[in-house]
Amino acid sequence: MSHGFEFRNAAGNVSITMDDAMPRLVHSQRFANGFSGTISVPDFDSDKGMFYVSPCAVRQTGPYNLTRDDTADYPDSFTISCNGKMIPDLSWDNTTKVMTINPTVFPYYWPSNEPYFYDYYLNFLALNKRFIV
Amino acid sequence: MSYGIQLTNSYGAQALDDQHKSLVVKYSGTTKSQQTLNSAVIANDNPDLLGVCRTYLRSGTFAALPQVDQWKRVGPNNNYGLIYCDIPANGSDADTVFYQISEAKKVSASLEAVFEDPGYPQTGCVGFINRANVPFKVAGPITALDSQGGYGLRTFNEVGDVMFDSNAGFLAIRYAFILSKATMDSLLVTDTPLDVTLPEAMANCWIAAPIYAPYDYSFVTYAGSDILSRRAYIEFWQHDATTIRFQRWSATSLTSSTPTYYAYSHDAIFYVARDS
Repeated sequence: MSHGFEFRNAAGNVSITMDDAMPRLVHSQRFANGFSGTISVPDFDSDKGMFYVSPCAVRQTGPYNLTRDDTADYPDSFTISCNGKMIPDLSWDNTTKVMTINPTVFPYYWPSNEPYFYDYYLNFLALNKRFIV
Repeated sequence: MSYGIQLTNSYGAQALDDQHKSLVVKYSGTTKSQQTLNSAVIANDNPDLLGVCRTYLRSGTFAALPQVDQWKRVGPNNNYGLIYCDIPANGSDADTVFYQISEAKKVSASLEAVFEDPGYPQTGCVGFINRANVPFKVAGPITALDSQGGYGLRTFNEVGDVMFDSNAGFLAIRYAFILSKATMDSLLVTDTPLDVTLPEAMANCWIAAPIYAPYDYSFVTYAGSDILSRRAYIEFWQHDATTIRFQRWSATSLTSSTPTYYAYSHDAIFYVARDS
């Protein structure tokens, strides 16, 4: 190590040095499904980080025990879907630091499965660098 | 920033500050197959079709994903996806799950989701990939519970929340990249792989893909019913120290000159952390 900080784990191995940016959460916000609008995240730089969507699971309806009961066969339960509707359209302007959010349009040819709408979190992480593929 | 601590690293990136919570490693382990979660799941389920971060799950309960066929459906009557979440006290809605994805355990679908049980005060996230026995680490914003040591360096924000603790476990999350929907679409129609070259050698790196599920299905109609004729996914894995490889996996069971074609792809975001 020639300069700056380094952090070592309990085994004595270097985990973070000054060649790294300490990974940090810049912003996290919950959105209702179908949200359309903009948010400003002044501290985020998409050259040195990235954002992602994390959908909220929803409580399952149906013949299940909806009270918390650890002894029940099927205690509180949730469904998660991985289909297209839950991912919003996101457009980030790194100059104005504004994110434009719109709900996506489901493909017209989508099979018979019902598209599901989910609330979601949008998380902005700072790290060392985003590279272009 | 007008006051406090701020460090810029040798790449010009802000390395540390006292305004944003650092991400620390909260849990680690290997993804668990659905069959070991509950012996009552459907007998013909493939144990490799669902990998779950086991630390978030209570034993003896179901875990599954519904609605998308590449996620094996499990649960009562094979119709419902159920999961029961035992969210840890230091969990948060901004946790991110990183996996060590090798050629022996290629991944074609990955998702993480936030759980907010109204009857349970804690929120947290759960990660899913379509492989069991894959090493994972959950990184999330530091909480007071992650900062219990009596030595080292800590920083706090203006309201006293811990932002950094040198005694916490860190994951060197170095890079992020995006694969566009157009790239996904092109990969779905060829067996030619796409190699993403990392800016540095990162053997046994940790990869997070919060939403990743590109695929296409083709159907033929027979006697009024749609029959799956071909399916394709895009698998990815760490090919060597500097390469993450993306390549189609496909299987054809029927051929037809006029199949009905369903495809789904999307921009996908990846984070890459160094193994340390």
